[in-house]
Amino acid sequence: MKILFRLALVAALAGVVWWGWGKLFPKDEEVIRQRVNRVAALITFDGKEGNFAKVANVEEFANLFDMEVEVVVDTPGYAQQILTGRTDLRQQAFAVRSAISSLEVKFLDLNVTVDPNRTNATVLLTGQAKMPKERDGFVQELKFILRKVEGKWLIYRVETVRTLT
Amino acid sequence: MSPDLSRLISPATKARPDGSVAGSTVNSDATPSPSWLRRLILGRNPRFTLIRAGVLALTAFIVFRFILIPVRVTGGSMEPTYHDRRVNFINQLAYRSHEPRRGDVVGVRFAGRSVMLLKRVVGLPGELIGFSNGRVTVNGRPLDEPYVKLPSDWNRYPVQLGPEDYFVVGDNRSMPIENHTFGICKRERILGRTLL
Repeated sequence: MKILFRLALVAALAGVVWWGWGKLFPKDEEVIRQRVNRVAALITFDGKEGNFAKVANVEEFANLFDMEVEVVVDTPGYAQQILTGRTDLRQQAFAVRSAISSLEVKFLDLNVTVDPNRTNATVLLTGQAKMPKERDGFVQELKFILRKVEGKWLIYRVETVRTLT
Repeated sequence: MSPDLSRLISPATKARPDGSVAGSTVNSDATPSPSWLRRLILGRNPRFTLIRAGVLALTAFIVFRFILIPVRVTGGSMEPTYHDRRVNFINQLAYRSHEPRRGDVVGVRFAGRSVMLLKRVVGLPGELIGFSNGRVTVNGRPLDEPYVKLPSDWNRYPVQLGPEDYFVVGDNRSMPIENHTFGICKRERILGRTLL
């Protein structure tokens, strides 16, 4: 009985160490996943967001992207739109917050692929956006391309993916 | 359906030779005792009940995770075959033995399985698919589609499908063509066929 108890204790300790190690030194895939999910969290806003919070959130949002980021939006029925640079992105984020009262964005099914050299990564995901009074929202498949700049993963390209061509 | 009174008696009570019971008396008007409720919830043998519940949970997990994906239809692109808000299942084993067939209603995935498109297969690999006066054309010939009930005036130049391509479209062709999501999808995106 004593041995069993000790074994269980050792197993529990090993589990805690393993969990702690993962938290302290997360894998690149996990860091990228958190970063991309943070984008969704920062795009999301509601009517209660104050001016300071708005500026802080947009600033944090913009800092997740590379200075030379390119966002290519190509959805059926609309003309292709391209945003270039962090400043452009920041302005668009402010414009969206001024145009609508709330927006809820979720990123689902994140598929993270890190290149063997661990400096570039691709994330394929399904984006779901819901505006006020919309029942179902809008769904779009997206591709994020990230690169490691001074130890930090930054998004340098976002493009829409056509599920059906 | 009166409950079997002998089973309401706790094991601590003893039956007398005349059939009466020592200890607390039991009558059919009495409210269900905690032991009755306990048995209803846990069964005669709580250990077996626990095992049964575990097996049931595991079976449900395997079935709804790997075989039948529960989906809720949103939007009207599959009207009148599938109405908005209707619940259905995508059978992931449907194409284990054969490839998707014309007329099948399939689930087409986005980046994963959380959200998918529900569309009908009208074009198979290698075919030339187009729309002419609201009718699908396969290699230049109009396709008979009894499931399309709503009028349509769609026109679209034919497209050639590759060896891994399927052409999928909704049954509701009465909406403007630019508002309808349809087109070529790769085989790898087709998760399975609708069950209902």
